Amino acid sequence: MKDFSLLFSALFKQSFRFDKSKAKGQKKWTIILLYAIVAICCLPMLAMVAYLLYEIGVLAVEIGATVGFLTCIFGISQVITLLFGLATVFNTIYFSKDNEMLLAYPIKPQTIFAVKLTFVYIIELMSSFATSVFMVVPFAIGAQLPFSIGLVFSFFILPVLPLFLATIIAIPLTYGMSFLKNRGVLSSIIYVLFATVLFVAYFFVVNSIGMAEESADMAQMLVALADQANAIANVLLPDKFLALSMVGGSFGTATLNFVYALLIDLALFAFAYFISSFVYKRSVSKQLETPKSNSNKKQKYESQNKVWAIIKKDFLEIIRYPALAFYCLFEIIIGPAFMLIMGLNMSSMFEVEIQEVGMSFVEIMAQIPDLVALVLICITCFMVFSTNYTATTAFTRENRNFYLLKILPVSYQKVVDAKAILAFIVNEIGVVVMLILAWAILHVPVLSVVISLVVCTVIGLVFSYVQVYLDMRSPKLNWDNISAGLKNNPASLFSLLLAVATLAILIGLYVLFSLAGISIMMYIYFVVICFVSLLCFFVARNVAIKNAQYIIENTNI
Amino acid sequence: MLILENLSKTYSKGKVKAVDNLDLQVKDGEIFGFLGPNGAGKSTTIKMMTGILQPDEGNIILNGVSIRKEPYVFKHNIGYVPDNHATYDKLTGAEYLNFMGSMYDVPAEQLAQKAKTLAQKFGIENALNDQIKTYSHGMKQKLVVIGSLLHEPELWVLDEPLTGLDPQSTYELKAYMREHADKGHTVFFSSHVIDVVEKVCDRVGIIKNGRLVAVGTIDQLKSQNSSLEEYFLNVTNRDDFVG
Repeated sequence: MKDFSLLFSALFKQSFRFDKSKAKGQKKWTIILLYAIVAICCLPMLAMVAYLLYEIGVLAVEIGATVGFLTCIFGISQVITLLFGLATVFNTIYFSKDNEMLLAYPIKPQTIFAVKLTFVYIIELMSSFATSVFMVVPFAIGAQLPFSIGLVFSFFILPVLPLFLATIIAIPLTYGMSFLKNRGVLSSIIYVLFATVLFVAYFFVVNSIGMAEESADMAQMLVALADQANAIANVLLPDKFLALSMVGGSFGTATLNFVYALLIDLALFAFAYFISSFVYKRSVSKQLETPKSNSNKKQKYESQNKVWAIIKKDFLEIIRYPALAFYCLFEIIIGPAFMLIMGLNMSSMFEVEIQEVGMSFVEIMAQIPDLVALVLICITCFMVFSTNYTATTAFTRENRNFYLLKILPVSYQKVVDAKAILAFIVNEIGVVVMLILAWAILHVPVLSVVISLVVCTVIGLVFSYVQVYLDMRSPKLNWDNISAGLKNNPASLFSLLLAVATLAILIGLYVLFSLAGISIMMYIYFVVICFVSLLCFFVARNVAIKNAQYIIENTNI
Repeated sequence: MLILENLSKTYSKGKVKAVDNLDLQVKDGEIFGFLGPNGAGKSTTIKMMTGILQPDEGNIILNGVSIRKEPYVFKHNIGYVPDNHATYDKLTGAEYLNFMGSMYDVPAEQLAQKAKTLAQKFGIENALNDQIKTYSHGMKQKLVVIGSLLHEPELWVLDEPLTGLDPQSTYELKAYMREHADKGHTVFFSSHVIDVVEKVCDRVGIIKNGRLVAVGTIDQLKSQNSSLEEYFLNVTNRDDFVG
């Protein structure tokens, strides 16, 4: 127990201790301001979710499915916790940098595991609390639950089920990752493909459900929903007992149901601990192995152009670091995946004539190529450019090697250009693949595709330089894993805002040009967009290059 | 010749003087040992010499090239081995050497010849196809040393270079430092291991609280005490010492 408390205290301080040295200066306020803007943007959405759940609470009482619905809401809150929790389990338990150090201490591996598991539980507790406030509480108010006091206790036991699932799922995944370790590019490709499949499958299922619901009438839909909720409740037993403890009956019944929920969760926690602690040391040891390739391939030496050498170095660093590759190449898959999902879900609708207009969907698109192009450009801005981690980690991913940029006899202008060119190439691959799919699957007119390609290429240049500049201004250096490098990265947050602002400008200008009512004006619109973007590109590049020397020289790890 | 002119650097908005009016000259063909207790200002001085930190005052001149006026030309003439061996560890050893060669405009032929010779000398030629992340501490150090020598720098700066090296490589590195100096280049070497400094260096400078408190040949410094170690301890323990 002494080992446990000592280790837990150290881990807690390491993760949560307030760093006064970093809490000073302008950067702190920039980050606070950014978070405030993001919070303001998200608040209406969260308020909407809360209101919706309040209404569902009212509805649940009317159709007599309070327990089923409450159980489902617990379940959804747990799925969100699980999604975040899985990454926490990996980063804290299996892939943590302190594993090597801890395994050398005279402490049982089970104790180390228990400390880390408890630590993950505390993190999940926070996530669970946040989701509960916006989901469970409004529902409880809407349904006027008699024993709402149970909610306070539910916060503490809700994270147990996702924690159990996360630790169990993590075991085979950890072994899979160990297998892929040091396989460089292969593992990066597998991770990215795996993420694509999950992404497409998830949205395909969500879209299918949405479409199925739209086709049914309201009464049928409610009965079906209540049935589904009750069926789910019968599977999620601990959540069902938790829901029962709040819904009704006597105080004794409510307490008994709460005890049942607690006992089941405790049993699951114990089971997860038993199984995972058993494999913990072996899987962590496997992670710490560093096999050599024993390659006898002859080395090839070649001196290259400096910009090209930096691009090549950056690309190899990205592609051989699976986690970084996942972030940086995500923009290549997200746009095309979106097109694929749209194509799969709408495949039956393209050629069918819409009675109101007497044309098929494909024919309508052919009539309005400018609007279709605008939609494609907006999707690209939001899905591809705003997620360009190749640009937003341009300097952050240098990490402790940042000093090399300062000692190398290469002008900072070339460094900025190299970083932006790589980001632009990645952008362009995402754009081209997405547009090809839009043409092939969604039957988008060729003219729209060509316009989108030209405009997106120019806007992509602007985004690349702006994002590289933003990261150069405040890179996150000295990190142990890339997630830590991306956490609170102002460049990523700014990118999102930049994309939203670009969308607003694009749509606003489109509306202004369309007021003229002359079709040629729409093509002038795209010429103007290209011209303005080119101007922005020159300004962005100039600003980045002009300030590079001062910024880089004054950035220290 | 390397000239440090009135070099000063402060931290925490001027509250902490890391380097205070440092004046120093190191001749061509010389191995200069830079000694000092922890926090004396050794690393800050080296970081200013390599362009990692900007001096608040003063200048650094290498063979007539000022770091302030021509930073890229200045850096082109420097090879630097940091104390933390930070490298791009997802690259293979050979890719790292190619990258360094490209950055310093080393012609392909010279790059291949230098890389092969030095890799053989330091015994890592069989590991060059492996990613650097699989290297041991010492192997990384050797690779960084090789990378810093590809362009035959006029000034070779080494910060604690012997940490983690095996005896064979320690011997090779010391020998190479001499070889490099004998070609007329300057070697600037910081270390805590006084025995090594005593054996390898032609001249030594001792820094304390950011100020240079002693400079001279080993014999000059030893003349007052029986060993360099005793002299160093004497200098660094006395508040009023002026070398």
